Amino acid sequence: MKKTKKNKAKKITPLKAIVFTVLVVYSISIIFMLCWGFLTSLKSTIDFTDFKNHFGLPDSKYSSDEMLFANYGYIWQNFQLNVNGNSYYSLFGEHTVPTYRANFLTMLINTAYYAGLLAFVQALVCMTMGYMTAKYKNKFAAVIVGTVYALMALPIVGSQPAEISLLMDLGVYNTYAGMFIHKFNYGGIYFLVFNAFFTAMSDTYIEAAEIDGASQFRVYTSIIIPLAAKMLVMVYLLYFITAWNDYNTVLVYYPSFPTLSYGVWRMAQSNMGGDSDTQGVPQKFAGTMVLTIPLLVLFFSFRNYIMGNVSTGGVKE
Amino acid sequence: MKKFVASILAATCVLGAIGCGPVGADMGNNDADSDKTEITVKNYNGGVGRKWLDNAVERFTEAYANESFAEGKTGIDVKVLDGDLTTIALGSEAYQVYITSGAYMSVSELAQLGILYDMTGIVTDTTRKGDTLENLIYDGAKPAFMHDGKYYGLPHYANSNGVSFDRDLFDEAGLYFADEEETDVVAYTGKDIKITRNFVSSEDAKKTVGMDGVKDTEDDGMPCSLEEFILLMDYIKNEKSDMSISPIVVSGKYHGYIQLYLQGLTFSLAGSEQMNNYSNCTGEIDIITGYTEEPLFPGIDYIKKPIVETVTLTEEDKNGYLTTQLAAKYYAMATVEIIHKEGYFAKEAYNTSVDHYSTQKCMIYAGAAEYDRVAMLMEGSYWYNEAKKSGVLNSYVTISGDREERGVAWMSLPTAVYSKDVKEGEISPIFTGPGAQVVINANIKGNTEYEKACAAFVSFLYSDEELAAFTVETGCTRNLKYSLTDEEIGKMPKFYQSLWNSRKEDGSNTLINYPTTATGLKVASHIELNLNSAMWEKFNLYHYVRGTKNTKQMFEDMKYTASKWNEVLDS
Amino acid sequence: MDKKIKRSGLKRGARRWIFFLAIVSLPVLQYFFFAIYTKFESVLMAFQKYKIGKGGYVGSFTWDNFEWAWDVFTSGGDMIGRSLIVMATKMVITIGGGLFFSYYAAKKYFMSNFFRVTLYLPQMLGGIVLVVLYQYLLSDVYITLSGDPTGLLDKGADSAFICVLFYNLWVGFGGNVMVFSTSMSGVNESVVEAARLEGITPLQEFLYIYIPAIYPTFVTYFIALIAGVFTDGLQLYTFFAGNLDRDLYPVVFGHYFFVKTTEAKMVGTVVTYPNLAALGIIFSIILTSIILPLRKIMLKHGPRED
Repeated sequence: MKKTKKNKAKKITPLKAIVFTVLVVYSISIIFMLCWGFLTSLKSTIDFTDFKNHFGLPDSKYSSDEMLFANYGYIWQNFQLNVNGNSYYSLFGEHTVPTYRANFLTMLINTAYYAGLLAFVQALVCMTMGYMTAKYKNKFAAVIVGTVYALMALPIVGSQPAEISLLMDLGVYNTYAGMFIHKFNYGGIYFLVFNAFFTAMSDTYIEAAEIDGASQFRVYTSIIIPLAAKMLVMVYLLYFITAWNDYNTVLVYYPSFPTLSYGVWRMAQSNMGGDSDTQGVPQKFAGTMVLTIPLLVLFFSFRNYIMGNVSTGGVKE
Repeated sequence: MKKFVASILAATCVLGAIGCGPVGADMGNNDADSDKTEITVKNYNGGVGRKWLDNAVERFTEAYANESFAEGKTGIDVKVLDGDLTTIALGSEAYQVYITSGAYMSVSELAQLGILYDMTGIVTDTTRKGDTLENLIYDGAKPAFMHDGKYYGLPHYANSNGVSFDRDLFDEAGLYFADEEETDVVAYTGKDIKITRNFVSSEDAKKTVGMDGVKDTEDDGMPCSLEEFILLMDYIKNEKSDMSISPIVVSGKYHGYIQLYLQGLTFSLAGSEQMNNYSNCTGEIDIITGYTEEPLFPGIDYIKKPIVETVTLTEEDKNGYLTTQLAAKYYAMATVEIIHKEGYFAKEAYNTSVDHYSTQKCMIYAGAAEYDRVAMLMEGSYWYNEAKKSGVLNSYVTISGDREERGVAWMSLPTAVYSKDVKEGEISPIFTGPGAQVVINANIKGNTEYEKACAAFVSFLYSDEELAAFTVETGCTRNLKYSLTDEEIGKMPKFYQSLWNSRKEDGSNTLINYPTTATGLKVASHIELNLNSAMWEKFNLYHYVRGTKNTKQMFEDMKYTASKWNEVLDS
Repeated sequence: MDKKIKRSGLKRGARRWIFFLAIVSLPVLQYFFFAIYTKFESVLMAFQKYKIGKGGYVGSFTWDNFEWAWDVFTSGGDMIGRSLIVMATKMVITIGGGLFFSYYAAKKYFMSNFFRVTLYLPQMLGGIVLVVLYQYLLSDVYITLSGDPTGLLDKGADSAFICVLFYNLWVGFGGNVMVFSTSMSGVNESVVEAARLEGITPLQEFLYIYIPAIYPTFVTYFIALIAGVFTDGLQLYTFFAGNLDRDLYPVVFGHYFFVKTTEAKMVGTVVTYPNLAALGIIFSIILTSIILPLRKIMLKHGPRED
């Protein structure tokens, strides 16, 4: 056995070498982009744009006002965008969402709500439904699971207009409540992942708890949630990451509640306008780094959770 | 892990109580128990910021410190919050006064919805120190702020679109046209456009008096006609090549800025009367009905002289579609083709990474860093404030060490194609839209305290002193008749001094683009010449660059047929 | 083990039923409305033309939306063409080529753990960050280094398409490798050992042991790629916002649909929600008729582990 392992380690085939080289080049390209973005975010606009110092270290000769982390301070103070209100007809009458000017804190709060809280709600709903359909075997549960499979298999395109119309009818389009309702859903791959997880789980714990007199709710909160906590955290982190980066959904369904990703996208596309023109490329890059660095911190802190369990239809502990 | 999950659950419960309104909204609730009257102003921060307003509020509250607007209350507090008017549901908002961008709807349209307070009393108030506001508002501005004969708003700032120029460079390089009698001149025959004119050869040489026919005004030495405008660029490129100056620049990233130039030049060539007729689809305009084989300018063979006819537009004839064939528009577009083909654009006009801030740097930096030094810039008049706010002016000081204010100015654009057709005394118009607005929320009606307070506040903002203070602080003008002392003018940046001096106090050269006829209002979105309008959608500099279309083809693409026009009228 | 313990007069079965219904009712209601009802509603909406009536929208039956949608679809040959090119290159490079890299990662060869991290990073960082960095690399930096005044994204639709395609391959490559390598690492080592003892080559090991093991996952990704031909916006909105000029930008249907959704309303806009609903139905019919039989065939006739 040892001899086989040694041989395996020593044998470098041309294919392996090519694959290794491609992976090295790929990795360098990713790391280069991130490092370049961060380095640029430390420069002044004069340095990067006017004197075309695209790859060098920040040159302190040009303006002490926009150096090093000053761009991040600028983002914190001046990251603002005009959010236009809108009005529409719901079943309960005309509904108006007012206009206002969103600053960094507003976007941070919206992000905390959307990516922080609602992602957790979504993970919790997936977990709960996965448990209920796995452990409460009845026809209704089978229909629930079957429907999810069927809708995932059917490539139905273009139901966003109908979703928007439904949210408008309920009078919750473009509101915090609407965001909550919209995200309170279990459709998707992670519901099936939880379902498979709970199906494989032994009933022993549950039955023992019931024998001891625990209610269904108590069984769920005291036994099931702790057992599934790792899985819940993994799914939550994946939802969090998706929601953190998601500006498309915000743009379409909740345009009056810009998140950080939406704000960064707007800033990168054009200037914010008004008193907070972020016209410099270094400032735009600082904005992207504001979006990136928390994710990198999260990723490296929870790497095993995020990467150890990334698979379609597979579950690992 | 359990703690992590538990803390998230706890946060869920706590944050689940978040209200349905967006965080960050400031609804301006006034304190009913205060011993002072309180009103809230919603101010659009994006145009001229709020510093001017904060200063005005300070002066107002000081002036009215002992005034009583309600029983038991003395004095007034004014809360200023940031935001624009973008909804018709003003009734549910708690702001009393709105200082808006004007981008959402005109005051007239808002008034029709019944959401604005009738300000006629304020506008016609004869107790005002000086003349009534009604007599001060430019006649052309009034329709946009009225409905059913009543006033529902007042004009706030309005910007102009066209060309700015580097006066320091013009002085240094002698880029002015010389007076006929001046002998200290450089006689120049164009290398591209085959006409001859004299340029000043020293700073002391006499310049032409310009279109207004008056010496020592803003248009002295400026090109009066399109042929002179092209000759100027020819002179800069070919005769001043040792100075490495590019005649003109526009953003390579946002070619929409060319539309600002096209708009300003079209209005200047057509003149106030014709453009009013154009907007309203009634009256006479000059249109193009065909093309000759003769070049429009000698030496420039690819732009042909069009056949121009004067037509009379009437609502009955439904011939408003002829507006799409406006001759002035063709001439303006033709100059862009000439500028491109003769190489008058700075390289930044083709550089797709050059945004409008970078073109402002071309103007301000005077050749520093990696930018071309340019003589002229295609932009709106707000660009100087943008450059100030975004740090372009500060960057120039950092790079060059030069703390002296740069001498840039607003250019008076030509009023005719050929010099022989320039009418002396016809001043180049400043084109502007209805612009930003000051309005009052209709929900104050019946609340005597608010009605008195808002009337006092708005009247104060539009007193002669405050009108002047606003312009001095922001550089922007309002479409009203008011004056500044020489001292006040001297406090403004040179650019805004030039803009102020280009403007006739009585508004006679300020052209406000707002239709007043039913047809004009209906077709406005089809024929208006604003930035990104339907008309300019068919125009693109890259058609010239790639050789895919020329001016004539793009102009023809813009034409409406009678049947298409009728569809618009019937829709 | 179904012990009937009476508590509060209710049997265990009844308690479980009550608890089940109490917990699932809200999520099921949400799912019914937002996943199922909206599908039906979009079909109904496609046949309606709305106007503003007293207190709301009033609809009337029409075929106009399908007429509009069909016109858009049939005049979008360039958009479909680009989507097909993207699909084909992704199949070859990210799925096909990705299998080789997945094998490397699954076998835990030299630095495979490090590569797994760098392969996952683009997935995690999302579109905005990398697109913004990439955009400025192709504009400001490229212009400075090459002297060409026009950035690579501004030379017209074809040039921009190549840049966008490269970006999508570069970013999308890692995701497939991650998933395939995880599936491959689930292969039983004893099977591999036994096959080696019988003298198979590494290539045969890859083709006859690992590929069959991940085949269902491979089919899922393959089908998803085809399904994305009308929905994948290729991050074009992040690159170019709502610009749809097909001479200048490499517009595909996914991007077109998204842009129009952001601009549309029930009434009053050039393109309305009913228009888009009709277009969505046309896409769905085409995709369903291709994907369902294709999936069946691939699973029936593909390699198996046994």
